Amino acid sequence: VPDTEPIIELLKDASTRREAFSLLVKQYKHRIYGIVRKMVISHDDADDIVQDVFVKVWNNLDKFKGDSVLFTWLYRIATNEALQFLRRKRNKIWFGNDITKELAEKIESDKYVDGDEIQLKLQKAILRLPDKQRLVFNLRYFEDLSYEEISVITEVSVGSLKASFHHATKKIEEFLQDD
Amino acid sequence: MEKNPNKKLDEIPKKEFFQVPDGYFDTLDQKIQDRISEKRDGKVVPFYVEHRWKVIGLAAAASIALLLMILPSLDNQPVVSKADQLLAQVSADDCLAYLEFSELDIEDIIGSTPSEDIEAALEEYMFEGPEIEDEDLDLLYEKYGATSDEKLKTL
Repeated sequence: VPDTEPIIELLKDASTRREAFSLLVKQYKHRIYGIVRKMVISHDDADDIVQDVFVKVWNNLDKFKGDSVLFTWLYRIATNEALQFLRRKRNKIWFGNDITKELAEKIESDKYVDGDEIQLKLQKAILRLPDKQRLVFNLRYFEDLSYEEISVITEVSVGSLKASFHHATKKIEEFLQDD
Repeated sequence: MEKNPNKKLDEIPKKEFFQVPDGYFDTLDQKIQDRISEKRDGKVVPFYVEHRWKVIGLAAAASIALLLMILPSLDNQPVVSKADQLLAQVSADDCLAYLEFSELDIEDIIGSTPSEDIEAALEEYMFEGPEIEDEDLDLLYEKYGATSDEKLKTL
């Protein structure tokens, strides 16, 4: 996790807030995009959401408490936006649409992916998990975050997160072993 | 693609599967800066919502224009000018069909409806109940094998 101390110092002063925000975007855009993209799959959707996340961050900078960790605050906003996007997609009036299937098809036809057959199979296995479990798996497996950090981001207890990750791993391995 | 379909999770190398278009991250900062410069009243309007409402607005405008072109040509049909009157002539089925194709969700509809209208609709529904035509009631009785008297007993 990058050092956020200089950014937090600049954020405290209204005259340097814009500069601090620019540094924040520069430092976190790749990570925020990565987390969001793994959840919503489509690059265009991820692009829209990442912009919304940073606009929301800018509008809520006053609410950021210097004592809380900056990256967990950012990640919480990003994961909430991604989950909300998926929830909206599932709540569409158009009944009978299968979002999991739609996202799996998107992965197969997406020109902005790079991986061999087993990587594709892994991504399709992850997609079969419920959204929140998928989020926990991604944060732990791909982002290498500790359970304590994920607990702050998702506001779920460490014990529940460990159980969730264990079940997710088991389901993914089962899918990987299937033909 | 490499053929290697069955592996355990810890045997799969971790790599960045998802890619971005060339130069994407170079332009992202500026797009965000532009967004915060043009923000309205400090409220975030998600891009996909804003974009969707533009499309819906255009579709509504196109529907009204079409009605304006068709109505004067109909015999004995008065030419009306107000959008509300024109839209009132669109059948409920057509409205439902439009909503189904528009990808609107319940949150969008509630979000765009004035709260007093929602309250009035709820009040009407709760205190007066929905209006059901006799024909529809008979169909319900027939479907569930009940008579009007049996129906009354269950109320």
